[in-house]
Amino acid sequence: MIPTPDMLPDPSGPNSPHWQSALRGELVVQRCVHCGALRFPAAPLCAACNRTGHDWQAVRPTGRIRSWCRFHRGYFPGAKEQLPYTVLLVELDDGLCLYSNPAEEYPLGTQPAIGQAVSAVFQKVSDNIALVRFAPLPPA
Amino acid sequence: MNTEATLRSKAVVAGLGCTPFGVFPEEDAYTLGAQALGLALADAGMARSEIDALIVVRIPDYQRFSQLYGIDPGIAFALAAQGRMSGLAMELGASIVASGAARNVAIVYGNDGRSTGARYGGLADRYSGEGATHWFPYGMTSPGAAHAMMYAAHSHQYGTSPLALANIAVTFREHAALNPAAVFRKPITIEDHQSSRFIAEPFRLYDYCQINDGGVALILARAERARDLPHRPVYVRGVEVATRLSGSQFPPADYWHAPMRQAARSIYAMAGLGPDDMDGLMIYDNFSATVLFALEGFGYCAPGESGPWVCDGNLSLRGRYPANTHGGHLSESYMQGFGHLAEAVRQIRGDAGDRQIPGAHNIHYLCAAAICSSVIFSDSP
Repeated sequence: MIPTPDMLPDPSGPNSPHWQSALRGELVVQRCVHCGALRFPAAPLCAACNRTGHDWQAVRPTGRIRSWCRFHRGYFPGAKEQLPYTVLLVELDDGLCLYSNPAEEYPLGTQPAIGQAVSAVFQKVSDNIALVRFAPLPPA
Repeated sequence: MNTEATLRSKAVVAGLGCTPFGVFPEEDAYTLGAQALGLALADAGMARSEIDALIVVRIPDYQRFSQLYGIDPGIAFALAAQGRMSGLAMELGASIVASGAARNVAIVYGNDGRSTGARYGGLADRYSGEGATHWFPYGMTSPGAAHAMMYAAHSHQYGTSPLALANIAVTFREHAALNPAAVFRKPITIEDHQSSRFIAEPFRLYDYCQINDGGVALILARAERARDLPHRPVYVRGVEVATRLSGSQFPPADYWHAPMRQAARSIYAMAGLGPDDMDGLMIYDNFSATVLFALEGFGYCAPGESGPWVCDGNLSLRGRYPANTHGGHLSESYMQGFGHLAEAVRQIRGDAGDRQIPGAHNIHYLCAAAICSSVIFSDSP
């Protein structure tokens, strides 16, 4: 699924460092400068210690599929022609959750395996946005 | 909140009013709420001047509603237009009555979502909060998709079958067929469910609630007033809320079991009743699978066992725990829990017609959501 411009974020918004890093193939999230708790998407306050002040920290681009669903309904006008598409809920090894897509769409009739280990793949979808998608890792 | 023992049967449902449910483009949330309130006042034998507290839900502005209705309640406020508010409104209403801050509390719900084209997904979606927009480029949106993910995880963890979802949809439709006010009354089969189109797979069309226009109003009064009421009194025997709002950007890994267990412990202690004492259930069914999570969270079956438990027929009018005898959100109308509260009152009063649960003394409303809520209605204090 290739998002249309109306679905894309403002690359200069609060998540700007995340999007800039994704273009370079790196996954960064906010880290509280006081207690070190990670948070994402960007938030003005740490939910762990309630203080402000953060930097952006690279995290491991690996995790596991916690769940999935496949959209057969086009809630976004621009995605209507691209149905169905799959959305993953990925829990990173460093603890945060992300919604994402499979780097390669699953064939119809097959579905993502919950618990599957995955690794980030950075896919450029516009001049200034690369999405953080995930591909299965081969068994260790 | 921790209200153990303090709210037990301090309030009774003195009046109930429901508009028809359907498509009413000439109405809006205010006029639908006003119609329902008029019916509830007549039902209670009360004058509008007796309303000393007003809680409006989904009706955007308490001030405009009070202007339209010509009332000056001592307390007036609006709750957000979210389904998780129905149980919370009951807790606030019962608390206001119990505290003595007001004698009669009108809870007024109005929903014009069908005619105004309310959409639960797409660029305006904020189900998981303001951060939701971050996930739009990945195509993620809608409460339905978040619940579909919860069901997919439940199915993976416990082997829960889509036939359990089908059973819920078919059972509630059977009940709706007995409810003249239900919008969808044509019976469906397990096969109809299983062959209906996917929306957010693994959810199919019949796993989704039915958005319609309508209004519901309940008037809560002090329990001392019970014997003066024109109807059999319906006590708010217990009411409890527990939230899982922190971290609610993503679906909870425990299907909200922890906050539901917290609310369950408290409400069963407050009411002096447990699951064995219930004659019927009203279960928040924005989606079919939400019913499974609620049954486990409030202790009707063990975590993971809800699928087989439902397939055993427990929720049918002929089963142990007749549930959503009005048809629920899946078949009567998506009134964000207020149709369920209304049906609980009708069941206790013995006013449920062809779908009456014989000997309905205690009816339990349960809602699994970021705000988990629970109300026990009873014919005895």
